[in-house]
Amino acid sequence: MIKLTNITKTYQSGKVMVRALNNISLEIKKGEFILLVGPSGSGKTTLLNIIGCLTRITKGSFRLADQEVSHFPDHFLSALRRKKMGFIFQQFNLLSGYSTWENVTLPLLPTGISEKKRKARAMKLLEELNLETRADFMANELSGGEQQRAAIVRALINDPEIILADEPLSNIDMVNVNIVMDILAELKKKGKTIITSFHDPKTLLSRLGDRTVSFQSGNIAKITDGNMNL
Amino acid sequence: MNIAMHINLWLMAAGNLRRYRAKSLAVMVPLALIMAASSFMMFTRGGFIKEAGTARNFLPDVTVQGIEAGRVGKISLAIKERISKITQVKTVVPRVWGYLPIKINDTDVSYTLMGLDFAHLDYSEKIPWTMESGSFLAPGDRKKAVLGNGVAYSFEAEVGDKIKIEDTLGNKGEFEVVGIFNSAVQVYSTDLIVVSLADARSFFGYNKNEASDLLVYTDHPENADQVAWDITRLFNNTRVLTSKALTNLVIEAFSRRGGTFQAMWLILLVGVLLLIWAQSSHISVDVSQEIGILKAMGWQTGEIIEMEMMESLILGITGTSIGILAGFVYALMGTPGISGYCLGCASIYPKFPVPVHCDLQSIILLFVLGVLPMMVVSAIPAWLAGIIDPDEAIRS
Repeated sequence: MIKLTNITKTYQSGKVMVRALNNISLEIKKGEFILLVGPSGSGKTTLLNIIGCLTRITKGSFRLADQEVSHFPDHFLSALRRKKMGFIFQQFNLLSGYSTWENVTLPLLPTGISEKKRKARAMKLLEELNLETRADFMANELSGGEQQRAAIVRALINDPEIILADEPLSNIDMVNVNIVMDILAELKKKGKTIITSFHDPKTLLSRLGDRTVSFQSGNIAKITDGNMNL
Repeated sequence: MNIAMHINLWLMAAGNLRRYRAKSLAVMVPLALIMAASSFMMFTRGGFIKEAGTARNFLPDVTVQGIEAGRVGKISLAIKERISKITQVKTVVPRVWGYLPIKINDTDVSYTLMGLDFAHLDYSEKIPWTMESGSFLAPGDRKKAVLGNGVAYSFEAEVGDKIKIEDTLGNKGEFEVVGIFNSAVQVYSTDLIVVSLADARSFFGYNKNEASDLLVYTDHPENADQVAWDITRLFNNTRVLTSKALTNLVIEAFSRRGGTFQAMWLILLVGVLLLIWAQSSHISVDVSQEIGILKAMGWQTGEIIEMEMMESLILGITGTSIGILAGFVYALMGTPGISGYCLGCASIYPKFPVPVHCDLQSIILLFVLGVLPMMVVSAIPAWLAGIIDPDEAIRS
């Protein structure tokens, strides 16, 4: 489903060119749960952003569903994200001026679905994640765990094939860690392709992974089949 | 075309104005103020120009003034007959007029007393001033006067009343009011007291062979320039003015006066654009992040720009509408506080209201100037943030 071949990604950071990913290759099958592990700055988030079409590769080939997408125009990538991807950010990235239900339905807005139907779909998912009572709260009125759950609802609102989660457990407490774990386990059961990063190898998330990809300084150090053997 | 999608974007744009009230008001209030200032100026300037254009119909084709010691002075009627003989001249009518500096309730005001020769003046054709009340003077009338609006108001005079006029120079007279002009050409009539030529001569101390100027009517207005040229050539000690030149003078004066305000308005508009731009730059981090998040959610750059432009459109139309309405009301109220500047002759016209003229063209122009720059200014930052990778926009 996802095929990355000899991917290199460089960033301009001030006057310095930073090589975030260095000639990596990885293939991910449909329905796989991939764990990206490694210390901060090792390239996990960059890879997630590339797979999520949030940034372009500098060199190499990125194929999604047998199509080379690295040279697709911007509007095509937007459409791809809208139809196929759900993104859970480490910092949640909810819009502060919007209520919870408005935030989670943002991906549906340009599709032309009416407000009534959008809200109904949002309420169903919010209920599944025990957030229905927070639907009309403003995003900045939610706790960290609630914000993360809202961000998950937003990622799922379009029923995407691929879910990309960047350190989904790093900013929430243990109670919410278990909730998020359950959600991801449920999504895995439903056959979604899940790619998630985390930097703490002891995290419980590692129990869910089909394969674990270890990163070190922009390189793939190791790919382990099955869960991490902690 | 997905209409439902566009409606969603427009509703979100409208919602954003409510969500970010402070930001919306910070843009809308200065815009409304600028549009108010520019619209009242445009409407009052339009009023002056319209009146000047209307008044042109009432002016003689050519006015001839005498020159004494290089200054405008009395003119001898001896040249009246010679002017009458110039080809294309239909009638030559003497006129006596002067300013009346008067004190009314401790206020210094200045009116114009004008004496006309009604026996030879074709005022049914050339002076179609409509009367608010009473009638115009008839040939042979003595000690009778028709008053302008402002004069009647100041003297609290009505038709049938007698008014005593005594200016601060010692000229005296008593007149029965037979008519009051309406407000068709206030620029010209509001301070006017029209009496017979004989009464004016008597009031100002002119002798029978003198006048202030001669009103020359030609057989066709297009010949006015040629007649004026002939008079200038024949009589060195005269100042010759055509109605076209007089009207243009007024129009130009108010255009320049309007121009002053327009320059001010332009500076203010540039100021607000800079303000909006600065604000856009200031909040660009937030905006960029928001745009990055929206793009990550699958929004396209065009959809984001459409939403941003719709926000500006709503903001621009609302601010401009409020501004135009406020400017119109302010103009109708007589531009309190700056009417002296607008009129430029406040002491002459103490009760003179600033004329107001509002037309569709002016309103369209104001909307174009108020809304378009707003939309462009808002679209550029949205476009700039939209064309970079969502990841970069979010990290900004």
